[in-house]
Amino acid sequence: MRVEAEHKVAGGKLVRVELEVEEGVIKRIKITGDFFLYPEEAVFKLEEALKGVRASSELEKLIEHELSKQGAELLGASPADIATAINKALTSIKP
Amino acid sequence: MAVDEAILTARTEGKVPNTLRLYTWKPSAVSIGFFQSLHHEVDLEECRNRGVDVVRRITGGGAVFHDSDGEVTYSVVVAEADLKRITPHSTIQESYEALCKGLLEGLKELAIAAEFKPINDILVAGRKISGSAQTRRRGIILQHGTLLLKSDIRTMFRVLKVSKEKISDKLIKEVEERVTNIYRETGRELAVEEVIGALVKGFQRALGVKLKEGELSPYELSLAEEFKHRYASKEWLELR
Repeated sequence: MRVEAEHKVAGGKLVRVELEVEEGVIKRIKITGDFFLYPEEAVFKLEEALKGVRASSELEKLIEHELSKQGAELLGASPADIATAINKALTSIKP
Repeated sequence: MAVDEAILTARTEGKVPNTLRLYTWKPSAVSIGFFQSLHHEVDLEECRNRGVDVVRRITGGGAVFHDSDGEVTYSVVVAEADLKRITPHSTIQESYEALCKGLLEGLKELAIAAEFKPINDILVAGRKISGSAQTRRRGIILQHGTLLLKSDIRTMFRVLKVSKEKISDKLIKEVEERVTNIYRETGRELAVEEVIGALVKGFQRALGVKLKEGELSPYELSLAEEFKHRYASKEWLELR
């Protein structure tokens, strides 16, 4: 099923996630919003890395790890903000 | 947008110098940030009806309404190493501030006291007058942004996706309180040329350089022509 969630970052930027979820597992994810990420292409690899993941408190670390692996820099939002949006979307699904 | 990228590309190949470009849009257009969702941000039907173009940038950040007679867009293409020599800095955030100084100095030319607000905004007495976005390719920075001459919040809300129920006189008033523009701050309707002249002086002073007026090179024009097709494509526009 498809779900989406928005998270307004302190400072005004927006992180939105659109997910395709099967039995609580992310099959596909799109992270959109008015934040900055350099290099920009890092977002595609991050989305790849989030496939197969469930809602958890480990999401933030996973995102942080993936971005640092790519040497990518996030501005206007943090890994925690992206994780918050994802967890919000995943937990919005009624069992 | 194709021209900005053409200058950036030509600069990475060492074929053109560091460049400041100042321009307006014809017709009016909405530009969205690289990471933004087209369908969440832009009312495409409203844009079509009003003859407003829609384009996705290669830079992040938010949606901007480029009113053909209500704003000036700037873009700076500069080698990271050159910018560092002029204004020592180490982070991307600091480079935004270093380049936005050109805008601050330009506004000062127009007797407007403005301040930089991280990440990418310029405020006058707490109200936003300008927003910028930046990317880099092979050691070259492209930073571009908008500077408002006047504000047409009503049209902006129509072409951007603000839920129609939410668009009330009250909301428009609130947003008008949060943004400002050059006409309002100077109390007169300046010619675009005057604003551009002030910005040229501002960037020269902020960066300690002497700018030389010029045209796009044939190479930049040919690159722009090539990139134009990508910017106009459905794939690029609907990338996210």
